[in-house]
Amino acid sequence: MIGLSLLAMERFFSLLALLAGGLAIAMVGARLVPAGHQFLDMIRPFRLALAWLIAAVAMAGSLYFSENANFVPCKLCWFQRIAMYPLALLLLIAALRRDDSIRRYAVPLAIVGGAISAYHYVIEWRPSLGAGTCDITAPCTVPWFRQFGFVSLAFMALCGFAAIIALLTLGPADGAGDGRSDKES
Amino acid sequence: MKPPRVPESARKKPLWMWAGMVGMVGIIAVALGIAVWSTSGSDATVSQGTTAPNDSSSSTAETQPVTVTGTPLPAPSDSGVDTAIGMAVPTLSGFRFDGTPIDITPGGNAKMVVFLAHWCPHCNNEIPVLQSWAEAGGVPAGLDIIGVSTAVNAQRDNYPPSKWMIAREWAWPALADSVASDAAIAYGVTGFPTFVIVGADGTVKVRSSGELAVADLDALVKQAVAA
Repeated sequence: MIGLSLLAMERFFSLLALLAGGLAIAMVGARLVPAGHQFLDMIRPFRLALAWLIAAVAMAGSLYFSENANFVPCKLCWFQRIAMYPLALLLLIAALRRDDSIRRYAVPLAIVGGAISAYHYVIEWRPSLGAGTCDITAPCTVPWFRQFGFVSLAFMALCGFAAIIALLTLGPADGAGDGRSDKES
Repeated sequence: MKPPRVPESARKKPLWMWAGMVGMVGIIAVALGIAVWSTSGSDATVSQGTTAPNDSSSSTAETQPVTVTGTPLPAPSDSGVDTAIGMAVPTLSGFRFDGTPIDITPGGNAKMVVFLAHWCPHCNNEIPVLQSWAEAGGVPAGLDIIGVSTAVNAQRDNYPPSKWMIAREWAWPALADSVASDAAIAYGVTGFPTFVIVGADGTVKVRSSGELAVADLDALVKQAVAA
């Protein structure tokens, strides 16, 4: 990452977020049409690895912007971090163990994170729906940037959470590994 | 706890799975390439804006040196009780954007000090409300209004604040806070906009943070006058 401009990094992570958001939308669409099942079957073997990759990239991006670019995280950003950072570790372990039971824990976490991201994104555009005041150091209603005119950090997190939810709710085709680990313990 | 039983077929990674992994790396590389290529001509250097030298005389700048004399006000507590009420405000000696001196002192008329940040959408909304309130005759006789432009950040929206305040038609004197926001810190400001109403006796009557409607503003000032 060293040597790349801040603008390039903003665009890079924004493009990845758009890809994640596109994947989430495509997966929802694929569930609605019979022809989409082939697409879902193609993704299915990678679902845990992909979900981990998205969480890991989201965590790396968030750390880059706060630690390298000095974008001070606001209160809502911290809540989203609380939801995203554990996923990066939990999904890695689950992907290595091929343990689909992780979705029982990871999906609620991603739903909470996604809901906070959605609220955060809304108040960035409609500050009047927020607390009515700007924090002196890290206001929630003021995005650090908007790539392509609409991709802010909250939007990126929302795309990440949506993709993780879409991937983890896909589930195995034959139920293999789904919840067995905790039944066998 | 045993790991889940996995079918033998799933343990083997077929060629297309490896192709998928390579594809993911390729997608990330392409995204990085597009990001670098599309921003290569852009100036990524962010100016931190103009800062006046930290001495007693100043020149035109977006931030100016501020000297605080007296005891700073505490930040509002979470309990809702504002311990700054009744305290004497410190004197703020500073400059306007054009470098002319301006002081905010405990003496003289009662005053409403309004702390504003150029990037704050609530401040952006509040200035027209203040104008409407003033035009409707809401400002009582003997109350001066003074703005403080603070938390200046060249990376944020509506920079520079000197032009922003003109564009928003700020109609009263304004002190340009320092880079370190000394004036805001001295008044215990934690959010924007912040209104501090100081009585003619130099003590804090009311302090409020956040966007206010005309009716709320009117009530706040009446509360301060009655205090």
